[in-house]
Amino acid sequence: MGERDLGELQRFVSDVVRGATLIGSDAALTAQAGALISPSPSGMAPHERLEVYREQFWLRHLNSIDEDFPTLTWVVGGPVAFRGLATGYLRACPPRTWDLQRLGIDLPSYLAGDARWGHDPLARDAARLDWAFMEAFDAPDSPPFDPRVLASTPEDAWPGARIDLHASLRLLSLGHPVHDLREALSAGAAVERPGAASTHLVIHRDPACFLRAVAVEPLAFELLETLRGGVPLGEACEAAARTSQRDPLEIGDKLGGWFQQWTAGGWIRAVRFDG
Amino acid sequence: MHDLLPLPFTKATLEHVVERVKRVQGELGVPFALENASSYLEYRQSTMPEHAFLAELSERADCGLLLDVNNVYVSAHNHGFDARAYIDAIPGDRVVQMHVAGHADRGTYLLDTHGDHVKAEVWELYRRALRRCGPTSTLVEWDEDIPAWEVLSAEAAEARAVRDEVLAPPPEERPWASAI
Repeated sequence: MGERDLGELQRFVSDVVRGATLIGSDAALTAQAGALISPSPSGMAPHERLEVYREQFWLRHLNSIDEDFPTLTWVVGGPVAFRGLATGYLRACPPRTWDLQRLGIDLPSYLAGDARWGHDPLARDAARLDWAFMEAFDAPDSPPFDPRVLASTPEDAWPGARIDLHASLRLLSLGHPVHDLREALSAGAAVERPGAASTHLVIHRDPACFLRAVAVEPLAFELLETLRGGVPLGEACEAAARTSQRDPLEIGDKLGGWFQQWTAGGWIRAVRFDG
Repeated sequence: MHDLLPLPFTKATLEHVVERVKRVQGELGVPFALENASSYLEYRQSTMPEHAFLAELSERADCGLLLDVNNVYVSAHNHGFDARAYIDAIPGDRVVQMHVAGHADRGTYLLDTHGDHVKAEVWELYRRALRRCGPTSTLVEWDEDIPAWEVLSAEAAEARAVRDEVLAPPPEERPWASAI
């Protein structure tokens, strides 16, 4: 068996194991398995031995993704309905990395094209929220920001300041307050399908490593999005005012309070004055 | 894949894996160990037993072995080989760590689950592995259906007790014992 044969064997086994088909129901696969694999001493046929791997593949992946989308699971009608959705997703989007934490990376975009759930805006919001939590959980860490920087910076330096946000920060503009739904589900409280309401969320991992979803006003959300793009603070304030058709002075009035919230919550990683 | 797929145990596969282990060790610059996986199928092309494959691999690639005693037991049952002969054939000086774990009986095969107590037969095999390899860092794997801490802790204590029992010097080498 040369390297090429080994590669072909690996491709055959991995394709079969990730496949949706019960191996024994496919005569060609059963014959191929019989040519490659010995029967077991206990009497298992070659395809039955390969089926052990296929069964384990699906159990492992479905169990893993089950835990990653609690809000979406409730929205689609519970664990059984979610299993159906997740099975379709994994068939369409097999895992691409070694990291099971990344298994659901394409679920929000898959869901958007799904015939059953793609037209349900609440399901789409729930998928995006759950995935933002997964990303925030796994994001790299960084040393805490020293708030004394804020006090020691001369006022005229601030317009040129670039604000680096913490790597765990995710900004979501949604049509439903799905963060309240997720929190209620987590607490085991009775929940109802929420009505539509424009919602701007900051998802992040706080300094104590708890995951948080914080609703912010649209103006603060705009500013955070612009700052995340590396735009200096002065320019970012003007851009946020233009986009939201608000008076730049209004942003100036609120900036102090926002910075207090952002530093206390660990949203800011660093402030740079390097141009 | 997030799964440990079995390899055909042939000379050609050996060449393939030895080359890759050497490359990984060269890149990482740190000692590297390979674990025996539990397996549920055997390829017709295999020309050597798994223990011979691992022994030659560790020698030629100059790498360590992580001996999973439960995996030896599970694979031995599934493929009909002698688990004790497997342990006796492993180069003890290459083993840098051992694993023990629980498994489930699925009727026609055993499944490595990490979700139960270590079975008596596996503790017995662990005793044999300790006698062959000497004092070796050991991990109790229990990451499915995780029980209360007291249960996990008792399982680790069992591993320590087995180690102490097997590796204790014989009475004639510890005359102080009668004074205790």
